[in-house]
Amino acid sequence: MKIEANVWQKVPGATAVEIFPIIPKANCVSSNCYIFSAPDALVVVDPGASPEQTRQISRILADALMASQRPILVFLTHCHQDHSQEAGLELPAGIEVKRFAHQAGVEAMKHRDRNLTTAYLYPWNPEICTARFEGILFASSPASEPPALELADGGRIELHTEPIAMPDGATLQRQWLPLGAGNRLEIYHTPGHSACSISLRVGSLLMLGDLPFAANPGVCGLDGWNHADLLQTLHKVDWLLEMPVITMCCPGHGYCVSAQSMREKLRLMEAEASNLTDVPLMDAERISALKIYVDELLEETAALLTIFSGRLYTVSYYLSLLEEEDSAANRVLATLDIDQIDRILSDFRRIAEAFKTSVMPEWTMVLKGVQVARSLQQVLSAEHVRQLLDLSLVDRAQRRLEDFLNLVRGLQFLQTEQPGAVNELIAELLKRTKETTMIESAHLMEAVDDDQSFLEALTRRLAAHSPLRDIEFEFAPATQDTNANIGAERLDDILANVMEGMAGMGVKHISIATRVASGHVEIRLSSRERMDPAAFGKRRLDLYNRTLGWLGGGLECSQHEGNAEFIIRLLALESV
Amino acid sequence: MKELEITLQHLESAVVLHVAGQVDSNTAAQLHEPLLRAAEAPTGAVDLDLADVSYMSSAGLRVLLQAAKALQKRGDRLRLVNVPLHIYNILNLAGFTSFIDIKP
Repeated sequence: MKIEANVWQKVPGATAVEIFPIIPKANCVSSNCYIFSAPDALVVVDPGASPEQTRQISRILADALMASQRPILVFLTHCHQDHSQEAGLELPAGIEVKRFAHQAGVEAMKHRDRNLTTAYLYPWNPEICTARFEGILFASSPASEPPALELADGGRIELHTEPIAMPDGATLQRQWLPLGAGNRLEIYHTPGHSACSISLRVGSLLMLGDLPFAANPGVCGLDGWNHADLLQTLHKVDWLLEMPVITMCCPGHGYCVSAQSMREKLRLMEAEASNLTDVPLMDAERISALKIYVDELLEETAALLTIFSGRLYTVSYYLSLLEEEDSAANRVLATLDIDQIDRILSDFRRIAEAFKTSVMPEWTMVLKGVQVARSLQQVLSAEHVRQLLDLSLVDRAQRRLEDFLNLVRGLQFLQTEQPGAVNELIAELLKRTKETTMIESAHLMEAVDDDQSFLEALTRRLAAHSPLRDIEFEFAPATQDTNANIGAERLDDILANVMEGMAGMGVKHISIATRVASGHVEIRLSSRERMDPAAFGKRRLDLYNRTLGWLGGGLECSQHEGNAEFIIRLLALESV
Repeated sequence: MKELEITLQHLESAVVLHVAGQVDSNTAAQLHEPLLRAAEAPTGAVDLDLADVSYMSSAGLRVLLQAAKALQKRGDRLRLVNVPLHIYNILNLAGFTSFIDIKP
């Protein structure tokens, strides 16, 4: 079964009810809208926030009313701006509209709460919906919840409250109202994404609003988000979806999916959400900081992955000189979908540039960054990528993507860091740069009698070529204890990136010195040759500085008589 | 969005392609045609002036590789001039300096 966008179709599991889904390209500015035509009412779920969509809704309603006059019932799955702004629905005089939302949402809109309605996310300072909501759902006191709404023609809309006792003892709050011909509109309180979140069922269709996205990085932590509520709701909805009566789920953004698919998605989400115990508020300040982080992440991953792709091209160049172009060279290039990675990054760069001259909310770029990070993670984790090549650059890019997603989610990845001795870590890194060549040479010698093995060993050797292999290092370790508050992988990543960047600028000698002073372990990297730190790109250095800053340290870069010096400071363990 | 701008300069012994803009998956095809035409010509050095290139992605690197291969068949090397530092850094780390002449 499929629910098509922009066309009337029968609602499965209902009698004489049709649905017209409006499903724009998924975005954070305006939601999907679902219109139902039932014998006794027209129901609009989430009008959205696009005036163009509102005009479409008005046309559809006007046509439906021509066929049969009925009241229009507008429901909000929650009060967020992208769902609620157009709930006023300007319709010709004489058409009766009754609006319904959870009490918490109605109050948020009534009090013009820019946080709970998420209006603060949008730089154009949108007006919060001022329409009157007569239908207060799940009211905390019976006084504020009219049991029936009077219609102008003398009719009544009865709102019934019937909580569901679940087998495990929990209660799912439910209300319902009749739609005619024995059909019901059932409403369930499903908080978590927001306190006012509800889900609605007509026939076999369940509309979940933004519940399917509630654990997404960039979405969790919005004002009104609640971890405990979300976990309980996921459990309750899982139970609902077990029932054969629900066959399709309609989200607040994107296409409708089968109940089975949604159940699987929500179960994965439950696992992801279980860690989100201490998520900081996604306020305007945090979003602005994350937006800067998105720019830096783009620069860093683009640089690392372009170098990696370039190395594959270099390998293919040399293999083609050996007249192996058709086999080995192509196999190398097929290892990684370079074109797909390039498309993802190029498109994102263009979106980021277009953003500078647009009025789109910064939040859009954060969500886009999350989407890009997840796409890249998927491409880079393919099994065949891991089999063939030296993956240090890919691993570094992967760690940056993971750090980014965790930070957007609000997880403090740094809490999981284990302190390490800086001197030992540097010595290990320097040893590793020389070892790679020796290991690969040994493989090459072992494989010399078999064409296929030889080519594979040669490919690995070419691809693993470390730019640090030919660098002459001088290391002057501090004599004191250099234990610092940083995990080995992240410091290794930053050091390797800085040193490779120096090598990329033609530096042949790198001096490294560590010392302990003023509660910090300091690592100084300097070159004998002239080099301009600008070659790194400011954003990449900013990213390293930011990462170190979270740990109480930082990165400074200075130029002295044409030579560059990088100073990395880490919080010494004694002062942590 | 500014697309790629390519200007050809025919000198006595070389063709110089001046490129301006971003060379990425959306624009690399625009560079491919004139660069490969010059590289596949029987004679003449090919210089690529990158002074006004703000960004080069792997799609750009692939076009450079294709031109380098074409030139290698007649024993020549592609020459890149006025290469911005951050692009030079990436080309160097990718190993391109071993088969392309690159001047920052």
